[in-house]
Amino acid sequence: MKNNKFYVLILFMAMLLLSFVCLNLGSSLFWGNNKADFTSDGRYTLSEASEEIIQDIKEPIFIKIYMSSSLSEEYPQYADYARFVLRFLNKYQKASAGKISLEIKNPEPYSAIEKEAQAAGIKPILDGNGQINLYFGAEISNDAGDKYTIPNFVSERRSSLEKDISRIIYRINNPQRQKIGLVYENLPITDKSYGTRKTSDWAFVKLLSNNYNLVEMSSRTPQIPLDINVLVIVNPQKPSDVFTYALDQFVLRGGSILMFLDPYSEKEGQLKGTANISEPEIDTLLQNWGISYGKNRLAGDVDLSEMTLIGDKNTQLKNYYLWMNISKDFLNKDNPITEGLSKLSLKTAGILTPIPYEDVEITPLITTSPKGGSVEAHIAKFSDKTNVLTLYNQDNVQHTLALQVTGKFSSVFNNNILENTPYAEKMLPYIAFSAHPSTIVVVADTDMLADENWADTEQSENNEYYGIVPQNDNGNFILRAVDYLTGNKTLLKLYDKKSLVSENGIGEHIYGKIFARYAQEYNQTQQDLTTTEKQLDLLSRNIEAVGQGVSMKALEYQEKLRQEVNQKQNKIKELDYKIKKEQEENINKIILMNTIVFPLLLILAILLFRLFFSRIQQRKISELVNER
Amino acid sequence: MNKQFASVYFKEFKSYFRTQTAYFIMAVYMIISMIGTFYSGYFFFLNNSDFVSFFSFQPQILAILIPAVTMRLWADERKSGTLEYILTQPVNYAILVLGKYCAAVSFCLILLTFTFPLWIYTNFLTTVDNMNVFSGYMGCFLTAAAFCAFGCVISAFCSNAVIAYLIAVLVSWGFMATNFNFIISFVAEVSRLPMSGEGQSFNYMAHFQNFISGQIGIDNIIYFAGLIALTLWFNVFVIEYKRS
Amino acid sequence: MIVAKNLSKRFGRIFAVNNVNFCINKGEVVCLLGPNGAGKTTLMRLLTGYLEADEGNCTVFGHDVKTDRTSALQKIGYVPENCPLYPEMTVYEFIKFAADLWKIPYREFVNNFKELAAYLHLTEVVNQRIETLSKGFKRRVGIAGALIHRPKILILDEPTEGLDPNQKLEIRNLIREYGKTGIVIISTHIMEEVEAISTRVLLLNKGKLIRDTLPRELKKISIDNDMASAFRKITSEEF
Repeated sequence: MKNNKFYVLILFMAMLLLSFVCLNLGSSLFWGNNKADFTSDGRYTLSEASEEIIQDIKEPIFIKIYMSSSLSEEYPQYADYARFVLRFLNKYQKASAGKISLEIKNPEPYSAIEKEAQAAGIKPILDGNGQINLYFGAEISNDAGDKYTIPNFVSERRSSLEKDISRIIYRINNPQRQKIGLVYENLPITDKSYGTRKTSDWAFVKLLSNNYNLVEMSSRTPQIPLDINVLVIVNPQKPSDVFTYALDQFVLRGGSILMFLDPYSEKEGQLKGTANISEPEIDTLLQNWGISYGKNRLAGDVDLSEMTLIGDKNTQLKNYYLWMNISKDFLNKDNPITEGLSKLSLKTAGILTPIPYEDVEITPLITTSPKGGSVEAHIAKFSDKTNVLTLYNQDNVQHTLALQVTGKFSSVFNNNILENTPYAEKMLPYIAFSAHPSTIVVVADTDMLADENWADTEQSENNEYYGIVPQNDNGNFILRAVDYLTGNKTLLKLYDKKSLVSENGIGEHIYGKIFARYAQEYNQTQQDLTTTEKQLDLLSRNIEAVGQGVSMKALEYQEKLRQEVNQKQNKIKELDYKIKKEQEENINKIILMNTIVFPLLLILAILLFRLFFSRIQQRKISELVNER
Repeated sequence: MNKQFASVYFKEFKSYFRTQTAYFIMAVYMIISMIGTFYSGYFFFLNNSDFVSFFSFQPQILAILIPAVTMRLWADERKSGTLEYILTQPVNYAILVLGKYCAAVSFCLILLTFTFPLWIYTNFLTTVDNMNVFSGYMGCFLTAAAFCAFGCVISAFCSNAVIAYLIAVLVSWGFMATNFNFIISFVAEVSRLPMSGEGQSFNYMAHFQNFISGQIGIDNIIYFAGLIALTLWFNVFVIEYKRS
Repeated sequence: MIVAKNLSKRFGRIFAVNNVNFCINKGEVVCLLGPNGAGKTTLMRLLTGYLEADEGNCTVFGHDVKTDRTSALQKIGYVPENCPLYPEMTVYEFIKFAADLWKIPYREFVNNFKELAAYLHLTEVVNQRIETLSKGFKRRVGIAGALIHRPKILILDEPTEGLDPNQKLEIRNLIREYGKTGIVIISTHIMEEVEAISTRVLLLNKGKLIRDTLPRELKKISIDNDMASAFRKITSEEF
């Protein structure tokens, strides 16, 4: 009898298990892919554009993730990001209905998988002891042999993650990469030897070449090849007639141009010395396209200006009006290029003025605030910042810094410039009017392209694109402009994801708060230290130059300065120590509060509540029993 | 509310505080949780906008502590003979099971609310994605609820609370850590349905991860609800079985 | 009215209750008598539905204990052996808990409670935890819990076990009082108790009902008209 019952129990249990399996399978099949996103920044939700790209997948795509299991012990913060990446890639997999397969591999040290990872181009990170290679990167490929590698996922690129992945998938879907031309002058933007120094590609070039087939072209070419639809021109100088003709005909044939020109390229000045900077003289063409460009004036803005140290002796942190951080409000929200961007950084930009033509539509993209001002370009070039600020003219005009021109144009030439030469036969025939409308985007600044003005390339070795950490939207602006000009509408819908998650840990937040209290003292000391060090350096060199005959006084002064430097250095160390200690105390306080104090208080509250409640109840009961 | 349910519920719930076990469990839970959060969870190194330092160790902590909440429920009744008393009252067994279970779950809820100060505190330290944290807490709560259900059943089998505790820890931990996806691959192979990925999973951790990353789907809810409901049903059955 | 028909219960191979038949009517105080292990407690557990009969059935005012458990139990107040209680509860809480399980309206509960507390001398200890009470008090609390809904049937398993004579007397008075209007079933192996309160005796041995008789009839079995020797005689005859 009892045995019988036992069998019934087992049977019942089996039945329950089976029903649980069915229930769970059913629910996951029906609803497994529908999730409510509780995160305020929707960090796990794919954008419409990504969904579109995923829907377009024709061939199966394989994502191989190489991730060392010991990552979480060595770099907890990075492992936190890794978890995010994995979950996010999972979303792609789910959305693809089987077209994307995801494989996670653990490259143990000295294993075959590690070799595989290295062969795939995954970049190792050393562990805390500097002995073992850790990996966290991915290879995305398809059967056709298209392969893209993210050498490692850089956590600072968190907001670009969706864009990166979706773009890779898009490129695998559309293996034919569009050709775009790149023409530049006087700036070392690609890795061609520049003078004696070998430089690496600028970050924006990596950005473009990662997404497009970037073809460098000479600024003397008489004709832009037919397979190039978009031309990026950086820092054009006075173009030769031949090249002017080439550009003129290129536009009339429907080609699009993204041009960065600058009355004062600070970057060029930095590299060649300010006196050697030349100015663009491309007025004829620009005017033909409806753009007037004042090459002698630089735009500035009181409200949008950036702070910097100004002054030789008494350096002070001041707003420098010519360095502008253009905020969202002054970027054209209705234009696909600038839509969704939030901050651009421009330095010593020129001023563009539209010339109204029939059939030509001119749209400002970037402007200053209505409190815009201007200053003569040569003042900025040849005198110091203090002077610039004194001579700065507050126009209260909203200057245009970048604009887009779309329309049909007529040629500035009457015939083929090389007519009657042997070249003419090989060239395309001359046309006088636009056959199709074309688009030209002109930005009156080249400094926005310089790495230091938009990207942190510390983690980007060997021309590696996925290590670039953008600091503002300059890079996005460039890429979006090219996407727009090449007609990649889907890609234009991919934006950076504004993430709530900052890369700073709570400990750093606490540190920051404490530091803020000491900031003034700290910075002051630091500044004093720098000045004293400079003085000491100068003095020491002088003393060295004088040699034997140095005066006692000078030596005494040198000694005094040395002591001062020492003192200041000690003070900074002391401050450092003080802040660290306070941080530690704060952390201990938090731990103590949450582990002991709060729980004790809560338990006490419960005890009091119980005591109070039972007293009342007992009194009530006694009354009840004793009442007649 | 059903009067019988309420009386069983309140009797059990109050008994946690009457027997002082409540305070002990609370203290232990807080200490383990906070150590887990601050030290093993790298609370101060991470940004913690999703409170991940706290959530990442909750399943393990709950697997150890929830059995202590549920171990007495039936085992003590059996030991002290009150099981005979309560089973000879005109009460449906299901009500008894539910009442006791809900009391344990309510206690777990209080246990979880004890960590709210840290949540609130963290809001002052960094930007916290509160909805995400809320969904994480939901995951913790459902975990606790599932473990409570296990604990109830096991307690009904045992007449010794300590043994009930140990077995429940084993079962809860095993359930939490085991990879059940062989079921999925088996079914997928047999039925040839496209089943893969964490969406289709029997693994507790996959579902819990969904909660702590703020991705709640109906399947997650059904997973836990189904688990709890079926386990409780089994509990009723066990009571009837063990009675004779 | 309680009717047991062919009631049997086995534990392994041993019959704890073997084919027992009886019918108990209102106004009876029935004593289950028998040596240790005779099946008294098992029979009571069968009557209260704590155990399920292997064969036969038992009905309480027409409700089958097996199929209609809750309705049958509505009529019964049962105090199990050793009177198990929740030690951490106060007297009031326990009785209130019992009342709620029976779904008694609050007003009715209050009246019954006051009456019972006075009758069982519990007034002084209503706010005391049960674990702090003496055995006699505990027994009375158990009985109060069983009586709070004024059941038609009161089943007490060895109600006077381990009580001092005064307490025994009180409990017996209570049983006698209650027996006037309802059914009381008690189990005991104390002969004087049988004589003092019961109106009917069910004598069990090895699970079998061997005598269903009146106490005075039972006494007559022995030569010296003594209950204890009659009991000894009957139970030894069976061996």
